[in-house]
Amino acid sequence: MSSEDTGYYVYAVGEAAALTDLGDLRGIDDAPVTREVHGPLCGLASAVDLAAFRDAQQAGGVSETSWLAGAVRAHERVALHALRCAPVLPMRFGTVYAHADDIGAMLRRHQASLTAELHRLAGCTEWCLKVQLDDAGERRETVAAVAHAPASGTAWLLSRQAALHARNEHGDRLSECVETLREAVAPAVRDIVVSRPAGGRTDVIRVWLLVDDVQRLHAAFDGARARHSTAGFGMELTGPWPAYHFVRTDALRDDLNASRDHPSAPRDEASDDTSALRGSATEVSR
Amino acid sequence: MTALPDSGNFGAPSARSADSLADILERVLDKGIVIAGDVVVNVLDIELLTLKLRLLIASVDTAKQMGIDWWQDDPFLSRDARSLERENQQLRQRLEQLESGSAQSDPTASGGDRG
Repeated sequence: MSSEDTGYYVYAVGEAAALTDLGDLRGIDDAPVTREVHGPLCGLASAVDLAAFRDAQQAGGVSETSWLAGAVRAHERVALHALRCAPVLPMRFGTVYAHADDIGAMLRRHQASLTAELHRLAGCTEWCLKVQLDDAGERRETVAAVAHAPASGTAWLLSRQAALHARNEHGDRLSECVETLREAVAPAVRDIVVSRPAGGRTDVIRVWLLVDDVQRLHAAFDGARARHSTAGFGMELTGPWPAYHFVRTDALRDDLNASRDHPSAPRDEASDDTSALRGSATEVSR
Repeated sequence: MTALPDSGNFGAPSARSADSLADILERVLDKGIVIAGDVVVNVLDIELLTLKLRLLIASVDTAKQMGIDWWQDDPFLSRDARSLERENQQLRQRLEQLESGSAQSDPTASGGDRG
């Protein structure tokens, strides 16, 4: 891999003094993760083959075992390892610099903003409350019936209508359940983002929580479940994760604009709204 | 810091899905610090990559349930479809060769009216 084909992928940024023990941490393509330090900040990075990114764009299909999927898993693994050591700011997937020195330059240029963001999120982690309908199988059966039953055009239209109605009903029930849970846990968290997956899926909603007191979150969630019926819904609370949904990048862009008169990049959908009042949900379509 | 990522003891029992790729993508994709400027994989490239990953999310466990399987016939997305398309192209080429060869060896076809 020549120097022209090599880039330097940055997974996360944190305080250099806290991110010292990387062990044998491996990143994309099993490359060793190194610390790129400038002043008090440290970026966790590894060398990557730029051709792999180009190939991933050229490749037709995507599968669970594809290079792209492995790269995302590596990104997650490194950011998670860092979080176990210290508060970190996860970088956007695919942040690659031409030279390792560029990472230090980036840390220098944005030192004030990155440090401020680290302090803002200090002590906080992201948690995910995943809520899904237990009776998704019932919906599948309905859809399957639509596929196999129609004996006439009218019957087909009626069955389609019934399936659509059932789907909307399921979606409404799920939304109501999520809203109940959101209101219950809001006082126990610093911020909330509600995420609805793409693809028309209506049987799963994820609620992302910025949490500084995990025990309080657990107590609030237990209380909500005791007070409200959540029958028919499966729930899973996972964490702590790096604060992917709550890092703000607007300040970084201001740094960039001020130093380079660079045109503004598009606003980040999550960070735009996560400054909302505590407990108010932000809807994010994925 | 609290603990290693772990499932809480909440809700109805459900399969631990925190390690599934779909969950990771929901967590990671399009999130995190963005610093424009010196990155060598530009924003547009990443948009293309994440678009493909989104397709993966939609395709793994949802779309089939909904009876959506259009990607299986899309040469850009489906290996099988690409294979079929390649086979189709090869057959067309073969047919053209045969027709061309037949035309050259058939005097009535290539010669036309020789008077």
